[in-house]
Amino acid sequence: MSAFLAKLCLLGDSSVGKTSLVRRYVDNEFSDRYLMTIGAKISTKSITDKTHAIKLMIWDIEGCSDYRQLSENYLKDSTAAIIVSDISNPKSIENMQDHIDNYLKYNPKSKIYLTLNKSDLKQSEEIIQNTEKMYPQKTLHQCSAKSGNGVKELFDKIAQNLIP
Amino acid sequence: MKNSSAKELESLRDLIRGKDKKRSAQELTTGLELLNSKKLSSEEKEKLKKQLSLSFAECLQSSQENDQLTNSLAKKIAPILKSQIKENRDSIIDALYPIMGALISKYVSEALKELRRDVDKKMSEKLSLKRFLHKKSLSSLQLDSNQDILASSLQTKIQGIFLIKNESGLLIEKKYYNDFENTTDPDMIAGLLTAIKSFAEDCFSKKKTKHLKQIEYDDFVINIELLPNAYFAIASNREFNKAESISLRGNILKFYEQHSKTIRSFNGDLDKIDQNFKESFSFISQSILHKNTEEIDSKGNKALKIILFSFAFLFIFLFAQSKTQKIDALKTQKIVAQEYSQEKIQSKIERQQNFIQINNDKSSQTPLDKEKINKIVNKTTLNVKFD
Repeated sequence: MSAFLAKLCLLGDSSVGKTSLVRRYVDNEFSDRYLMTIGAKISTKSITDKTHAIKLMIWDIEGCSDYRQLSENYLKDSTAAIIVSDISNPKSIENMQDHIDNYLKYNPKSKIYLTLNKSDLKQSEEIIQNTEKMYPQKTLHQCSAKSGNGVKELFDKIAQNLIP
Repeated sequence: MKNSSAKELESLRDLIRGKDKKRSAQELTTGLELLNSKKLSSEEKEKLKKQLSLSFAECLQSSQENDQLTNSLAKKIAPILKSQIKENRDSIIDALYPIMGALISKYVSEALKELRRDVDKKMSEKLSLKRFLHKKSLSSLQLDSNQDILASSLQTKIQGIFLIKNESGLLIEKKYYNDFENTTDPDMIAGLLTAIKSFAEDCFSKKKTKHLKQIEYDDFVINIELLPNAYFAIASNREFNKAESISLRGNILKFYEQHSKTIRSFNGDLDKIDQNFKESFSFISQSILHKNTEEIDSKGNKALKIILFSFAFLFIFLFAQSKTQKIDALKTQKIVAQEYSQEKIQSKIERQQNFIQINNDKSSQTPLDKEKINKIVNKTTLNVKFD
């Protein structure tokens, strides 16, 4: 059985739900209480199938722009990134481009997955279509850390794509 | 301005047409600059290239022109080199590290030899008879010497060693000792350490030339040793002393020289870490410190062990000697008599001066086992006589 380690970064504006997504995926928990992440929080999750064992090192990087310069170093040498935005917050969707540019500065060859979180709050085809137009070359995912919809599928898909 | 550029073009045109084959170095370098100029047509550029290559060859042959050429080219190349080094600093360090590592390891081994000589000298002083007697006097008063307390507390114990890729924080290899394995996910440790290291270096090192060397937590220390693409994190009970640090770095350099390619290319695929790498890693972690502290201890007790061994050897020798010593004559007589009583032979055993006289009962049907008796008696200085 082949074994892989991969560094996966979660980026996005403050309070879009990055930490909640990680918690849902790693611990299958969700809390309404908001605690701002300072710096980076690292979690691990192992995924095993018949032929491969992949261990994801998930770096949940703080979204506050005040500390942007410090947190940029956490992006280095990463295999893939999830750029998270809040479906109910249009500004966070627009700002995804900054995060994409920032990430590609350090990892030009790595894959990026765009995610619209908090899909439980709002379901709008218009928002989805507009977002797809804004980022035509990227695949868009929807999920909800609160309900758990789409979370496992997103991370499992990323893990599968990491296998060379 | 216009006149100078017109003159330059004129001389270049002459160069292209091959009117004046011998050109100074200055003109050659000017020619190189103008090769990229948009003023010349592509045909002129081709001719210029040919002429320049011929003129270069001539310049190189002539030593005088060569110096001029070198000087003028150097002025152009130096700023280019400077900017390239600045932009590709990491790659250059990566390329130079194995070479520098060899130089450093040589220096380190010399320094280590010097240190060992020093330590040996001090240890032999400490193990003098005077000191031994002093210690005995202390122990009789049930007092411990300060040196003993210090020596026991200074022993370095390693809990774990991790090899972690820079920046990504991926764990390449690990080795545990004692109970450390039961505590935390090693990949988590690797990631968090990398984040902490990155944070500290960003906050406190503006030019990013300084690096985090150690993290101390209560009675637990994580020592960090840097490599170009990765770093070692060694968890131990205390900070390394100078000798330990030097030894550690020497081992790490050797390890890196052998496996730099694997470390550099590591991207998370654990199947690429082969058995040879793992064995080398085990060796480096085994050779670090454990042996050093054991060696110091063993050297420290060497004199005492020699004395004890000598006594033991003497004792064994004397014991063996006693066993092989010839049996007392009186005992021989008793043994022979016992042998006869077993065979129920009535005979007379008489000890004379330096022999044993055995007179067999002539009525006995059983013959004397003379060979057996001879064997017993031969162990003494006596002889045996049969009737």
